[in-house]
Amino acid sequence: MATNDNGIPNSSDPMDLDRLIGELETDAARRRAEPGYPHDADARLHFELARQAPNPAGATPMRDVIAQLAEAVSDVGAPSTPGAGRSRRHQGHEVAQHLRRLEEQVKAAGLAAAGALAVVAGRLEQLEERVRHLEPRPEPEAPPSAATGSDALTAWQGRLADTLTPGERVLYAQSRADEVVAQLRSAGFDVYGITDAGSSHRPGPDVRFGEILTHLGAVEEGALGAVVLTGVPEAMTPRGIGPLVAALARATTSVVVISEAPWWWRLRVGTVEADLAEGRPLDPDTWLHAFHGVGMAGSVEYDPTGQSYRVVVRTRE
Amino acid sequence: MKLGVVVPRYGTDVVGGIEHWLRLLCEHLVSLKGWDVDVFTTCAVSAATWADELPPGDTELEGVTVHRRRAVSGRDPRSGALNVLIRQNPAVVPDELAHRFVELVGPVCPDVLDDAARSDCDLVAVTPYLFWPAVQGVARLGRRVIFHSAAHDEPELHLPIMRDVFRAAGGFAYNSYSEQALVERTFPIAHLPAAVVGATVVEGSGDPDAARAALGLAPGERFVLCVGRVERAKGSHVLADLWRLYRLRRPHAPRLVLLGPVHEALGGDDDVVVAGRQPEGVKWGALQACEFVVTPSAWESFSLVVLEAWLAGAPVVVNHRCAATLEHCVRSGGGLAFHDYADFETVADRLLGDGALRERLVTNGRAYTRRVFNWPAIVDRYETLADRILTRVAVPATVPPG
Repeated sequence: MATNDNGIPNSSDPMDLDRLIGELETDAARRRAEPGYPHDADARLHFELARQAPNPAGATPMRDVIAQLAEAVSDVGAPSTPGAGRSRRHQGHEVAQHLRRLEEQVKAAGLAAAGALAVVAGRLEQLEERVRHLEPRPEPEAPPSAATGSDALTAWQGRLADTLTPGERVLYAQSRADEVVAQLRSAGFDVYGITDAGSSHRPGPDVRFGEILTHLGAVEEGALGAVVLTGVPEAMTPRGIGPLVAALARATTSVVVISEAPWWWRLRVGTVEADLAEGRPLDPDTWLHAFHGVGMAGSVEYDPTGQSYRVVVRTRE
Repeated sequence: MKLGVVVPRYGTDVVGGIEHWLRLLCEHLVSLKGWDVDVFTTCAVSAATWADELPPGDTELEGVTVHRRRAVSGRDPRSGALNVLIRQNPAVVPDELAHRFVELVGPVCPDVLDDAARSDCDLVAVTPYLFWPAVQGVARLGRRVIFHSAAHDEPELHLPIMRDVFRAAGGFAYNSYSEQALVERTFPIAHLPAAVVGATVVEGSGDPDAARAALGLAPGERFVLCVGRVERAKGSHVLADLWRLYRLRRPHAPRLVLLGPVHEALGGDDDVVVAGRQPEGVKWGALQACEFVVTPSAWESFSLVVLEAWLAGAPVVVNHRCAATLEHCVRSGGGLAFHDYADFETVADRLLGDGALRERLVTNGRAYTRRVFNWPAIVDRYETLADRILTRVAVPATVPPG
């Protein structure tokens, strides 16, 4: 073996190591294909790691977080550095909107800190309003990337009916809801949808964007035969999946999830945007594991290009 | 060369972390290169509080001049609450809120920055990126700064205010190529001088038999080791689950020992020994005695434990998702990685049953550690980087800020 200037052996022949890694990969692939391989363990592994990234504060009790948050944000005060740029003002507006959404979630959970959050959100909006009066309004910027599900829907729209049972009440949420709901109704399904705009002139008993959790909590237990999820960015996240799956298990006996494949979405939007966007697609194993925890089981199917997948689960007998 | 160093805490009482490593770098720059080094720091020892524990004033430590000043404020517990907000979507956090967050994280120490700005140092090393001294100091000290960002892919790195912090630096000293790749794809700074300087470890010693006794193991008992804080973010709980499953399928496999302070509860059983914090001698004895070391964390910026394992004679198994530890294994040929349970079981079977393979991996890893992360090599790389930054400092900026 070759040595370096200090007489210390260098790394061994890299081809040798390559062969070793190849052998190990082949062996691992064989084990994955064996009957009795613990696929559940892989699902738990991926699920746990997904839960940890990028928010390790997830283990903090929500009540404590809200209490600390109320105390902390009350001390934020006025801007410390005047002369903010256009981009920053726009970002501030987005934060205010985000706080509003968070406030709604907290209200829905019945937690007492909603008032404090409302004060902060209001304060940020006031600041933004003051700045808007001083200078021309900035050009609108594109919102953060999010997985709307619209692209993925294209691959599956023609086959939606094959997962639904005629006569069952179906909730469809939410990409191109008007179009899909109309299509399913014409095929004889009792379906209603979630609109992404909340426009009053749209047909059907539409649930508004951002209210799916509230709506699922409001319907009677077992009232739905199926729920089809196609791009619900605020709920299809590492933090949102727990409450969403629990609400689904209560309200329905089957669920269809249609999503872009994570690798394809990441390729399209770029690594940084993919890591940080709220609407990042989840690995289908994560869905299966989460549904497994509430007594539902099913399967994953990718479209022929591998760019999107469909998870179909039903309540276990 | 006169080097200034802005760092939140400094001293022999500061154990672990980038600050500890930077102290060793300072001392080796003095002893091996003959540089003058002035450290500008606070009176803090603990990063959890930044409380004043050391007296203010100017002292000398191993040839390094240390200027210690009191901080205006330390770590405010409310920073944790703001952190929750920021982590939701850091890219849209307004600057006011982000600066408030950094103030709450602390330590706010304007006297430290005043000293550094007034000094006649040729260059000023600043670390790490997240704390108040770096966020305020890099922009103020500008092109004289060698930025030891110690960045890893966490939400705080994507706060909009960080863009100006990173753009202001004169050059970058990275721990790993993966850290360099992360920073250069996050900020437009790839044109600035940079080098992967890395870190190194001080090789310790221990008695394997004494370590087994201290860990509650039988004399001569085989075991697999994980060293580091026991918490979910470090992958401890994932590893414990994997090992319990492995023992279920391989009842005669050795036990897993988790050695390190327990930050999140994890119960021990017949499969997993939770040993808690142990003295350095026990750690080094355990590293020598174990079959192999697992570092399950998916988020490390360097991982000294991997190097310590190789020096002690243990091969390593790392999480394929962790760019830094995987980089060590790929560069050295001293470790193997797992992505799922099938990989994990395959690698564990192979390592436990193949002593020659273990030995060869250790040989590779140890050679890599000594070749790449020895002090003469590190200070040479650092000197080359400093020369490149100094050359650039002497030339007026040609790219307008913005």
